[in-house]
Amino acid sequence: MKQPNNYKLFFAFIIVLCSFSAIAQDEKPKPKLLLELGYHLSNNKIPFVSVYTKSKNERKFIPVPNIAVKIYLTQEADANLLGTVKTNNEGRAIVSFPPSVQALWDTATQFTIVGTTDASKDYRSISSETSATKAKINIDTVLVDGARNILVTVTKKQGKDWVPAKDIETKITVKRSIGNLSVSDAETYTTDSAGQATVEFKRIGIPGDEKGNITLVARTEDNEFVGNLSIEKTVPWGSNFVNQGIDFNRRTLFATRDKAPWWLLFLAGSIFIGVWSVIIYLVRQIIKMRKLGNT
Amino acid sequence: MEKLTLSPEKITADLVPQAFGKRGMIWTGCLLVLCAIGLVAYIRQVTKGLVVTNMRDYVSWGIYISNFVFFVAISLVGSLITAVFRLADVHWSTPLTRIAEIIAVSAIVFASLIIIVDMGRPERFYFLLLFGRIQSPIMWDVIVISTYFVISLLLLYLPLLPDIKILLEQKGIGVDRFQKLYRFLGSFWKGLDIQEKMNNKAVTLLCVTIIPVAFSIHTVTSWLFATTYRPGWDSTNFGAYFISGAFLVGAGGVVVAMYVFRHVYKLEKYITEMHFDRMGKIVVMLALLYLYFNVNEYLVPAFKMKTSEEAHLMQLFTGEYAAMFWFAIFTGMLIPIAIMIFKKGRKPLPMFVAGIMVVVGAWFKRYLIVTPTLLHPFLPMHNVPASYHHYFPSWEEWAIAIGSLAGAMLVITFFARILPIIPIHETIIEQHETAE
Repeated sequence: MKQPNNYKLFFAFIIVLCSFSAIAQDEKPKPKLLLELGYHLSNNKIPFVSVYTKSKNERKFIPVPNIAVKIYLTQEADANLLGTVKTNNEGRAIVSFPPSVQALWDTATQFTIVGTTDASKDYRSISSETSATKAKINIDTVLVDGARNILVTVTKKQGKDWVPAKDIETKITVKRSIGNLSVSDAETYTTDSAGQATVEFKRIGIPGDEKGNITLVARTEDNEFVGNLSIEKTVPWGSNFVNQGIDFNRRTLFATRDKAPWWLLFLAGSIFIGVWSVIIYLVRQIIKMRKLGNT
Repeated sequence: MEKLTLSPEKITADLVPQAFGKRGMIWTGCLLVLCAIGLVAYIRQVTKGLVVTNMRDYVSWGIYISNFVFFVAISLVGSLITAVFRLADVHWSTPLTRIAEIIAVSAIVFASLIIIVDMGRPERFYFLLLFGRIQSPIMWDVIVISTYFVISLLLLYLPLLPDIKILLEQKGIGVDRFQKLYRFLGSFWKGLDIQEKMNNKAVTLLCVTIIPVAFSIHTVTSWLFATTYRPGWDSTNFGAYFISGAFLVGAGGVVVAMYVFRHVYKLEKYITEMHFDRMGKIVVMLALLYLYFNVNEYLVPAFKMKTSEEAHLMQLFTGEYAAMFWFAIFTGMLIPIAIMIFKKGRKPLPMFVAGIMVVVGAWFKRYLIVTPTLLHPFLPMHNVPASYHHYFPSWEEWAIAIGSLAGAMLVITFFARILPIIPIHETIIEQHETAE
């Protein structure tokens, strides 16, 4: 019997190895989907739940879009369904509390929000939950020794009563165009045993609207006890915004390209035409010299 | 001045392009390899995006713009050696004119290319032409660079016409393979009186035109910085500061090229010690001038030490960039002055060393003008990744920058291979006039 030579054996080994490798790749485990829920109450109106779906890839979290998530209040039951949402391209969605859960919500003091997803070809089904105490946030202003102060109060529901919520970290800020600016030097303020945090307003002269109105914002962020509460109050503490008469339709250096100043167009155009006229003249001279040489 | 006592035939034989020997092939090969590595890095940048660079939100002009300013600076030498000296009727510089013109053309080509590299996606250049605002100094720079490129090409081409006639009459390994190119470029040149007259007039007109355009090109480049309100750039001095620096690096580049061509092509009879001596004096004068502007640029803000300028200046004087800053000042100005101020220092070899120092120092000086300022904005850098606080180019940036420098030298090498590096016709004429 003819013995297979070493090369054939080697290639057979490589082919088997590659096959195993390919099978192993096919059996790659599905990436794990992560579901984050957040409870929000803005200006003590209708609460809503934020949803964020993501997965971990090479040490980074990547948003996962188009995931249908069912959100329930307290437990997974049809009667407790807040809604079904599909995450957007950034993996986010929100769902407001519907009227159907009002009776359940009115009696709640501590509550849990449950989110579930169905299994798909890419991800296994998962569920997640977040718990919070039913709470409210209020904002008021007081004068202390002639200084403007902001008083933020956080209360939580206990039985049928609203009682102070102490040790809640809050951010007290002024709303600006792009973000919020802290009203004083510290980043956060913690409520005392009366559920209150007081801070002196130090942004004297901050620009407001035409009447000098600014919007104060107090909020808790991902607080483990009360979730995300926020409240706004408009106060006339800013300086009046004065229109400087900036008109983007005028011909200026900072206007769009079709509104360049006439003097610049004239100056740049003259220099350009002057220099390029010389260049064109020189090219014509070369053409003339060429003709002279060829005749 | 030393007089040449050579026959026209001897001058022609000495100055016609020569085929590359082994050293020339190795040199060209090395440059091609560096260009190829740069090209690979550029392909990576185009396919993966500017994320392959280490430029981020703050340092958005890194090594590419430093390189751009360096190229623009060195390109000014064409106007200095050719135009200024020609208009001033200075004849000793004749053997250096073509070297200067070639350096100018190759540098301005790569200045344009490196800007496109810096844009990330190359089609943005097309959009710049399509949607550019005339109010922006960037648009002025695009206009003035393209204009300067055309003028520099003409300034290289027109004085070359009489030499092309000579090249067409030559036979030999150095010129045979380029006969088609020579015919295309200048077969019409018959040396007629009227042609000579028209050509001389055209060259004079070009020399007059190129000086303001050359000043504009580097002034506008300096305005890219000076019209931006930032520590280190907020200066009314910037145009003159950039131009003086540009003349210095350009003259340094010519000194290096003079030495290399003289040595490689055995041109000792044409590029003499007198040329080195005079170029040495010019370089010393330009270095002192640039030093003066540097003192203005740094001493005045350092005297006032405004808070916004302080962090930037202290980083240059004693901080992270101090080693590079003092290296640039000493290598780019002080040591070359110390070498060339003495007659012995104006001999070819010391001049070559000093010329290299000027060029290397100038490159680092441009890096220092661009990067440290960007790391010191008026508003403090808050809540940004740690990498935003520092800048050191990635390997792709280094490869592209080195590739572009190699590319410029490759263009110079290419011109040196196909064109007479010293004007043959002018040398013969001047020798004839001197003999009379």
